[in-house]
Amino acid sequence: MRLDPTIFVDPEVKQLRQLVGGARAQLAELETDYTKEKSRVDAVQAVLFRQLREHYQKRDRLRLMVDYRKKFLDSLTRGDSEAAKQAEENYEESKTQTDKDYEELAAAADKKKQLTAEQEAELTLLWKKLVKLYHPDRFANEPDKLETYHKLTAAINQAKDNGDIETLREIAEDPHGFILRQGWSKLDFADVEELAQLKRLHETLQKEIAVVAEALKQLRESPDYELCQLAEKKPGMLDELAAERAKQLELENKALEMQADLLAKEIKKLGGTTSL
Amino acid sequence: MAEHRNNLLVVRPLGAIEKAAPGAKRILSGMVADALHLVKKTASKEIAISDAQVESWYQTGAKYSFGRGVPQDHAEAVKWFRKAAEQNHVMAQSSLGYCYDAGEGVAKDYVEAVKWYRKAAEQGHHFAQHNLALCYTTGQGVKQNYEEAFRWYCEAVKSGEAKTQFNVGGCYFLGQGVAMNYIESYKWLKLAAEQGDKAAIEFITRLFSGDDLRRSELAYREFCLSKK
Repeated sequence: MRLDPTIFVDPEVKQLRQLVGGARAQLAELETDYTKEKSRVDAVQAVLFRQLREHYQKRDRLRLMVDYRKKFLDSLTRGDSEAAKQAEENYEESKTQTDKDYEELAAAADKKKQLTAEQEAELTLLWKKLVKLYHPDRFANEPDKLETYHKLTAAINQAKDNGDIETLREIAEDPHGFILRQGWSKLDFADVEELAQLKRLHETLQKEIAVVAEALKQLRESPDYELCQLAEKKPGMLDELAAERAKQLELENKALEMQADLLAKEIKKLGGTTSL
Repeated sequence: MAEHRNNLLVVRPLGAIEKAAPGAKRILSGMVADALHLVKKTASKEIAISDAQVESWYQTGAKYSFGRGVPQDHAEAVKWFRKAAEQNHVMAQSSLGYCYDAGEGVAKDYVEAVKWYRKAAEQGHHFAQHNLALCYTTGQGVKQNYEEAFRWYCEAVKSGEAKTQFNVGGCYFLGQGVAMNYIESYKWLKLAAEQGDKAAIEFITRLFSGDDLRRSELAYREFCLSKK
């Protein structure tokens, strides 16, 4: 009888490599679906936001103002000047925060672009390449390489979140070049060969698949997704909807303005003054 | 999952917009919720409008069909009946079926007739059920099937219509789609006859006599008593 250890070990490594390959393919598919659908959802939201921002922001400001004047009036009638001051401070603070929130959303909405049909088709290929860079445990003992790895994954995530397909393409086509251009330390993405490493890689890949699958599920169950589906089913529907909503908000804002004016008059009657 | 979150190459459920401050998140989800709310409200309004619309289409068809307030025009009636029937208006479906059956305002087409009768019959329309059953009896527009015919007559007869009662009686008398049963047959024929249905009266006079008639009449009276 001939004992050949390579014959004994090989099948297991080979099998694991196949499993890793299968897991990568699955991950690539899920990533593609997620990126496509997320990009559509975000694009729809961005359209909605751009068309309605002005009305909503005005409404939120008016609501804060009415709320503040009510509290101010209340503290005036009670003769509680401390409470009046507090109300004014709270109002200033919430107003600044709300305006900041709208600015932030506007910046995010500006970055959203609907992917073109070609870009969507390209995504599958890109993700097949990108998941090959997935080696979470690989650089654990080399701090500078680990740092590079984190930076790279962060860059991919950011590009994906913004639907920035150019950057995804840049990294997928030439990861080494990308890393070099950023001035980061070099990384070796060759697949591991050792049995224990392969096993670990396969396990983390499975975990990743579960994470992305869950993210995709949550996305598909969200109201944002429902709106996106509706908007895609009926072209022009989103614009009509925004116009209709704008009309409603205009009415609501007029009512709020009236309410705010009435409150200001009452405050004046009581001899109080409010610059706000 | 937290322990290798930093390593992830993959998507996180949080995109750029969602990563924004909680206030910004609230603003955005508020906009989406308002938009969806508006969509649903508009959709329900559209349905309400079309219900009234569909009814008016049927009524227009009926006016033309009977010449009520307008010159009778069967072709015009068919047009309006079809419009309403396609929106699942049960009376319109039944009427359209009849137009095809009788060739009124449209070329006679038993297959089309069966199609529309069936749609209305399945919604519980007795007139359509009767006519559909008749198609099964005669094999017009559908493969002859006495069992199906009897089944639909039994549904249709709930209306108390004499013609349907007569046909149920006929099924029992001839054993079509149901076991032959003179007593049951007599019961249904008599019910029709009591409503003045001439065919039923003639049927009874001609075909029931002697002991058969006495026994059947007895059973019928018991049936009437039990119903009271």
